[in-house]
Amino acid sequence: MEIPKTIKILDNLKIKWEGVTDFSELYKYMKLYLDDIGYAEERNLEKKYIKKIKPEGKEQLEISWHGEKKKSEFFNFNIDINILILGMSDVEIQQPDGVKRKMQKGKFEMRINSYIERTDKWDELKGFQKLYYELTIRKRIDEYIKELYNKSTGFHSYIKQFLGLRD
Amino acid sequence: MVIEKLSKIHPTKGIVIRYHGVFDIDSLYKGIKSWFKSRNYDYFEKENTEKNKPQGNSLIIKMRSQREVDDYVRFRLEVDFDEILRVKKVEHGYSGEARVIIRGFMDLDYHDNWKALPFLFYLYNNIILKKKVLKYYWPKIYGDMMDLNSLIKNKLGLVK
Repeated sequence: MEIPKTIKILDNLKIKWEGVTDFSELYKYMKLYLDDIGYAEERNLEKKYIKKIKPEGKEQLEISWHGEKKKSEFFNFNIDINILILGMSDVEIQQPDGVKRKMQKGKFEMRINSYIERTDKWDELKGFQKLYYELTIRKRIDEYIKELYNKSTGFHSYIKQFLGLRD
Repeated sequence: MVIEKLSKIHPTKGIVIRYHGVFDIDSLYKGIKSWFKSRNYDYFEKENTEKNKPQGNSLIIKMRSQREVDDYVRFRLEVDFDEILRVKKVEHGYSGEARVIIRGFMDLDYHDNWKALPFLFYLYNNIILKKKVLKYYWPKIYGDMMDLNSLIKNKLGLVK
């Protein structure tokens, strides 16, 4: 059986929170998390950042990230995140210690995809060399699936915990 | 009974549990997750939405799990917290209105190895494998689905 070009791990998992959160902190920590697990480089993570100010002064944000990690010469790990925020406005929240803190109120939605991608190097293999890899690589792919599943669900849990959702 | 590639184990609209009162959502949620883990199901969450509203939070959680029984058969179980409304923290848990839906599926040839040979696939499932599907796989996934149903009812304090 041919090794597929992409192996989907997480398919568009949705996290949504309607309420108040510190979005700039969330944005920063999400980036740091991906950086820590080796999927982000400051320069090439963000693919889209669109901010629209609506007539009533509320903001709409659309952000797309593509995190990638080279796993071997034949496979790359990918984590994609799409963030959509509707009706975002600043609010001041009094902390338990009495200090007022600026936070954001709105509808925060995140969608996470993760997948393993076969590199072009695989297509360059021929004859016995390709047959050899096809026979030996299956077990390794199972390990890759498990690894990316753990990494991407870990990231998913991290966002839920930050937003105070059940995990 | 014809054995198809994807069989629904649940009733048409799924097993629907409605509850209005006080319950511990955290324990229910964690209990289901642990149950999936203990039965070797791979778990992921398709959706986790929470809306903060003055009348109480509303929640939507779509839990998905799957287990590869062997190279040919895969079980899938789904639990939807399909809008838990007016969730408010009370002394022993939360009060609210819950609607939980459970669905179970049996997926044959999940690697799609027989995709190019639909007629042989049909013969294989309905002649060679039929007995095993009906006597072994089907009762197994049905049992898992009903166990999950019991767990949820137990956590909600409903009669089993």
